[in-house]
Amino acid sequence: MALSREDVKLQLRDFILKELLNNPSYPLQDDEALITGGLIDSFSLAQVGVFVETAFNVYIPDTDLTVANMDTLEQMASRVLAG
Amino acid sequence: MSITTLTFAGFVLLVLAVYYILPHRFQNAWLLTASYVFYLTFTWQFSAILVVMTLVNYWLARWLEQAERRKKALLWIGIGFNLAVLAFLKYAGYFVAQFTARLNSSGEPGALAILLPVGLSFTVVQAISYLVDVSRKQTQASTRPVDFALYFAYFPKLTSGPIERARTFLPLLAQPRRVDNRAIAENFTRIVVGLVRKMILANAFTALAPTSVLQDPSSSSPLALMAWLVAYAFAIYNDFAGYTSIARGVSGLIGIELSPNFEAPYFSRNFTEFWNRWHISLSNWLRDYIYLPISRALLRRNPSRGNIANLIVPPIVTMLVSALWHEAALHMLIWGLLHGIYQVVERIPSLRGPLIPVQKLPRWRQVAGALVVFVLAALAWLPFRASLPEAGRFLAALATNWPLLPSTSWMGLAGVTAMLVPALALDALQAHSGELVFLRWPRLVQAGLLAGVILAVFLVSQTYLNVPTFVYQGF
Amino acid sequence: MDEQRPTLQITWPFGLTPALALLLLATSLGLLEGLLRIPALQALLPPPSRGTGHAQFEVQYQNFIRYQRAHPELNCIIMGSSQTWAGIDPEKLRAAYLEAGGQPLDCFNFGVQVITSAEAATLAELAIRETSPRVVIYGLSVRDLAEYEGSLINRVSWVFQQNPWIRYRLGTFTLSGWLTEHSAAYGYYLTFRARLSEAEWRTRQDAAAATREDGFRVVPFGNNVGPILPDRAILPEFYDALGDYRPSPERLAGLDQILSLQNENLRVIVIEVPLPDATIAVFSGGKEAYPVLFSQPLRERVAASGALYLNGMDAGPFPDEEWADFDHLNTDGASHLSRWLGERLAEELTDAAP
Repeated sequence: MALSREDVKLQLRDFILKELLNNPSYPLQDDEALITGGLIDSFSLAQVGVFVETAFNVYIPDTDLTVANMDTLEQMASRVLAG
Repeated sequence: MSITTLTFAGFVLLVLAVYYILPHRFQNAWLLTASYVFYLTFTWQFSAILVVMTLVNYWLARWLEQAERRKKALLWIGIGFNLAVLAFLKYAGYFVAQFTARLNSSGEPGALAILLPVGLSFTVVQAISYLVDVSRKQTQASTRPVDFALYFAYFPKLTSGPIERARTFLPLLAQPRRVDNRAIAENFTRIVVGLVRKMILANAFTALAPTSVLQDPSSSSPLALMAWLVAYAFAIYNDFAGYTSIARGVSGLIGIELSPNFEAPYFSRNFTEFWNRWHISLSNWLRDYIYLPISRALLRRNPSRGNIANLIVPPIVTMLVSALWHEAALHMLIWGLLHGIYQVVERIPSLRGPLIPVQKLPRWRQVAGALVVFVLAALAWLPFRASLPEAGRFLAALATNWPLLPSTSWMGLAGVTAMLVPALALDALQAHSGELVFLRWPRLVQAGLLAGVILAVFLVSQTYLNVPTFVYQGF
Repeated sequence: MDEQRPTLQITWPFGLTPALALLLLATSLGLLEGLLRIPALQALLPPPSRGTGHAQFEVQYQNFIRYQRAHPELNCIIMGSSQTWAGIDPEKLRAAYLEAGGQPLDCFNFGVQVITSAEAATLAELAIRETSPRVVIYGLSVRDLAEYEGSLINRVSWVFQQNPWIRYRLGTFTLSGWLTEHSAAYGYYLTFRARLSEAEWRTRQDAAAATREDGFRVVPFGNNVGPILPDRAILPEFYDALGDYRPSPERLAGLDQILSLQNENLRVIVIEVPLPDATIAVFSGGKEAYPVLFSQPLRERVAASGALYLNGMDAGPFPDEEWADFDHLNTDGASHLSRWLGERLAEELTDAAP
């Protein structure tokens, strides 16, 4: 089943707000800098990585779990869709 | 050949003069030759080990790439081989002593010496990440032996990094390079800033943090001991950051950009930030090859953020590995453990409430955070620098000698305070306006500063001046 | 295509900032140098240094330069360690020498703390290059020739061998030696460096205050307590040097170098400075062995070179009141020794100049 970009973003957003930010009502923008903006620390990327594995069955290698690749919701979605 | 000597400057000029004339297809071979000449000026033993490491990793990677089966076993053999080299070096104190003696002809190992078993520990981590990346098909095994050998031996980064990944570094070697006016100005600036950090700031701070205080801390007042810690923290930072800046500048003149390694770490407002700004290339390596794999393995078993193992194990293990990489000694493990604990404690609040980004905190909390980080980092430098009994005596003296001892000398305190002004100003300037901010200043100001630096570096380089003072006894 | 293009692609203008920096540097250093050569300004500043880190040597060297400028009649250099510095008073020596019928003998006491014969040889060369004395009086004792080590003597020995200015003065070109010798600004910079060390500066001031313009130390060492032996834990090298006396080849070579200065225009006189009985008792084999193992071989060595040997012990007993401590005479002791030395020199030098 092909995932739509919006689906991916929806699920990622939900995960980030609940699990990483502990703040489900935070108005997170698609292009908002999560790590360089200080919302989550770069170590939380491990959680993103594992979530992506389980939710989308996509393995993102550790070396790709970087601030440069995964700073915004938009970037994360692109990386997931890249497979 | 230490990189702050005229010999090294002459060596670089000679290397560049030939390099610029050669066509690209011969340039890497020339750089490789130069790198081994550079390394041979330290010890031939290490050069031999480097050759062996290069050959083994080159063939292992190619084998790993083609292997259909037993890939994992091959990878572990490779990692095991590289770790064995590291372990051998860490325990072969003889080699280390010999190297540091040559690194610094005055016999007093600089603050940097402690970080080295000699460059090869930097090679070991680069080799491991290369094999891992090849096994994960994130990078292709190199088929160009000269380029690959140069990846390990490249002289600007050989003795103290930065740690580069094969997947970003090898492509740089494959491309033709271009060095124009702008590149020369920028990299010359990096070299000058590096000299200021290493020869002026680090030298002064090292002199202000004498070993004698560690041997007998009880004769110093707590205030003097604090000044010692501050001086040591700034000595080790400026020594290493200065080295990196020079290395990046030299490499830039070759046309190869090396990764930045320091970004005003003592302005960090929490430890996560600190490790993103201190020895960045090592931190990134540890994150990619230690922290994230452990963290993900644990999260797969229990995805809860609040799980105690998920919280504690990854940072502590990562920092202990970092400690072992620095030196296989108990006091170094304590340093790593402290930093691990700092990170664990720091993350506890994020388990309960929403995280407020550090840059959105009120100004005073940011400043307070930076102060706390600095104090805790400085305290952790104590077991990094000193043996455990020494560190214990130091802390005891720090705690018990209040108030000031009558014999307190204000000279050291005044010296540390005076040196903090230029040290902090340089950091603030670069952190706020960029590493190369100086190039945007009027030419006359640049020239004036450069003149001052030339003079200061010349005066500092007259090392015989640092004759310790004689205090006479009758005989 | 790229393969053909050179790596280095620079265009004019190029290197203007470094060139301007060098120009600025040359101009400002030139101005500073000119400024610091103005005598009126120099009078306001502490004297320029030689960068040795040996505070008392720095003070003595300044005294020496100043003295020889003010006293062109200077014709004699007294050399040795602190024992000689505090033990031979040029004024008393001169008076006794004149009284006994000699011609004026104007000495500067160039005693330098901690040095042994090895460093004294270097010092003698430095002094002789600066002035042309007709007499060199070298005062020494067992510590100057004995084989022993200590952190202080090791450091002083290192300074005399390695200091760029000393090496430059003795004929080896060193950039900082040249600068020290010829640049006022560099000399004052070295003083500034010394000023940064509280301990060194204090030592300098103490040494300057204790020294007369002719180099003689007028303030007795220690608290002028008399010949009380030091604690072995505090001064182990004293017990090493005396208790287990062996002559050091390097230090003997230094002595030989001083003796070799002797020629028809320059008389070399070696005087064994006295030591109190309590100190000699520490010598290996005790008081009886001392003349046999130390004085006699020294006398023979000096005599063989054609130089003159005198034994300060012959000046008669030095009572406890004449000792500042276990190896230094106080000013009374120095008067005693210097008067005797003046008389002896008048006898010995009658036939020769001066």
